[in-house]
Amino acid sequence: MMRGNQEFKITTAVFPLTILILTILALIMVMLPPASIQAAGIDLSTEFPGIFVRPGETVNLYLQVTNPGASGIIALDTDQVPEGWEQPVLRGGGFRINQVYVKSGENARITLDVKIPGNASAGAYTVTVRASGNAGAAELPLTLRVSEPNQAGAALTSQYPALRGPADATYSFQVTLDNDGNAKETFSLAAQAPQGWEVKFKPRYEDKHVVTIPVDPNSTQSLDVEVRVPRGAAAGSFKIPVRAASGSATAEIELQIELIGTYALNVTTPSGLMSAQATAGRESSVTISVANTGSAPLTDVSLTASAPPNWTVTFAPDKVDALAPGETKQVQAVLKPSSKAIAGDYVVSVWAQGRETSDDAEFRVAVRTSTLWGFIGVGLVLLVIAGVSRVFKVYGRR
Amino acid sequence: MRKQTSPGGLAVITRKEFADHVSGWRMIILMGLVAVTGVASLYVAAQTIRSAVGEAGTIDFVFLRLFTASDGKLPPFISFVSFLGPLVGLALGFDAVSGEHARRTLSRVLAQPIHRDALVNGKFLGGLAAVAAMLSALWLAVGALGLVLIGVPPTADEFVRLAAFLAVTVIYISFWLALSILFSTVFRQAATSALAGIAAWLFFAIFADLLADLAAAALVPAAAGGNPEAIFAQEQIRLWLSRLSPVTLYSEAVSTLLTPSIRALGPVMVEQILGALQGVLPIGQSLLLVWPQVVGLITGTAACFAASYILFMRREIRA
Repeated sequence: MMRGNQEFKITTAVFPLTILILTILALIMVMLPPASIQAAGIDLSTEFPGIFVRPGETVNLYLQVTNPGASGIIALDTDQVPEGWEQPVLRGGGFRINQVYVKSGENARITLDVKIPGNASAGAYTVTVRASGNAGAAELPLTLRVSEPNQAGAALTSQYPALRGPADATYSFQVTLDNDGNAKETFSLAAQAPQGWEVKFKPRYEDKHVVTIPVDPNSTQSLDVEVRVPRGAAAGSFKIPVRAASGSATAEIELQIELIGTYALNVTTPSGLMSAQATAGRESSVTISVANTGSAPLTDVSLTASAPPNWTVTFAPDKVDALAPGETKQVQAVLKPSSKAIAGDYVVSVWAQGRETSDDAEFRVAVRTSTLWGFIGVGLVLLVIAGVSRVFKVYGRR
Repeated sequence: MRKQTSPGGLAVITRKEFADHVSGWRMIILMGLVAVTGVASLYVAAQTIRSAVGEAGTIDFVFLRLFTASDGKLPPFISFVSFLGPLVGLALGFDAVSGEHARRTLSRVLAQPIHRDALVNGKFLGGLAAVAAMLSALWLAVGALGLVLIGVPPTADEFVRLAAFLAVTVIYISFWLALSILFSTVFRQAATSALAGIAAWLFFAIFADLLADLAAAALVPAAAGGNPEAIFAQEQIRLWLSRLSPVTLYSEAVSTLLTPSIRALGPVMVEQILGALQGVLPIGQSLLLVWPQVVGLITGTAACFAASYILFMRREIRA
């Protein structure tokens, strides 16, 4: 009993001591740097430790370094890089880094740039990142799975591959050139257009005509394909195969232009000279050419003229029955100014009125007066001279 | 004196008359009058052209405008020539024959180996030569002055028009010369002859137009705004009557020659203008337009000369 009491006493005597020690220990624990708690360690982590990559690609991985221990410098390094790979680059705050300072209990974000070689064969590769500091070390293995490399491939696509409109215009197709391959390719561009048509390739938003165009791997390039359709192109549907070819890939697209027929008539003279000369009261002939400048045939083109009063204008023939596109027919216009016309320039309008369209041309007709009266005047003067010489003879020296 | 004897002294008389005219005060005074008024009008025309060019930009036929432009106060050059030119012709011829009578030199001249027709021909030709020479000189001087004033040389077309203007003016003045020689043959007194010439000049230059108006109105009465056909007929008659005057003929001819935009003389129907473009006539058409006027002047000159020739040849000449 005594012993029990003794022990009890002892224990009761020890108890405050233990409390004291514990308190001191707790104080020490609080005051000592947390290095003493090494069990927590450094944590190096990433959200996606396993990713798929493609050869030639550069991936940026975000890593997080957590330092639960005392603030300090943590050294970073990459280890176990697969053979033939470039050393991955660690970045932080815009710098290439090999150390990071992390405050106690906080974390730092860093980036890891891994360039996968273009010739990497399929399979899983591991890149290990190490972090080591006063508080310990951590390792983060990253699994990069290289997928089967794509074959070089290209595609040409257009949202609107068929356009419709008249001849004598420029059509612009928006085409996208897609390089599916893993390498940068330079494509040469070619198009097969009908004779006389002009096809130009332009990079979108640029005013340059290109023959070849480089496209980065797995990216697209927008192109404008401009097709200039000449005047006089016949109506109809035209296919324009466009081909983009590089050393390893080709792509084709068939663009289509549907030309609608245009009706156009042009009245002129064979020489283009829109003036004529005529003598008052006398017929003179002017050759007029009527041309179908459209792309559809014209029918029943009749010719009329509007001239000053008392003039006559006749056409031979006065009607052209049919005029094929591009065809020109000549018509003789016989114009006879009024016999009382005053000398000078006059306007005569010639109208060609077809069933489909019409055109007019203004001629400047320079009217000259008849020289008949001039000759009569000369005759009168000669008569006067004859009279005077007769006077000389009759009344001359006797 | 070798060849000149063959045409019976025509060349001698012509040369003598030419020399007398050119050195005589009469010619110098009259040409001076024409020259002074002409230069004054030319100067005014140049001023007008300059201001017109400043306002309207370029003007066609600038050089010709020197002769036709006026500021509204001083008549243009061609008006002075048409008004004063006859005086030159009259002055050279009014005493051609009567003066010889008065000086009693006619029989003396004819006593020489000179034919009677050579005398009257020579007097006309000498006067004509003097007129042509003086007019050409005046023409050149005026042209040169115009060149200085406006600094634009005449184009080939303008030059041809100006040459035609000179030729028509010589014909016009030679008409008055022939008329005055006729008067000097008809009237024995030089003063009478001169007065007759001046009367004719005043009549044609001032009254002929007024009389033509009156006569036309009397022949075809037409109220203003009345029957257009009657107005047209009256205008036609007035025009034809006034064309009996050499002054009208000359004015029409010269203004048409020097104004290329004149396309017709006399009344024009509206239907003739429809469809016509503003423009100028080529020189050939202008010449064709005035050719009747020129023929009229030539015919008048020839008629006057022939009449004086006949009169002179039939005249009894006493010493």
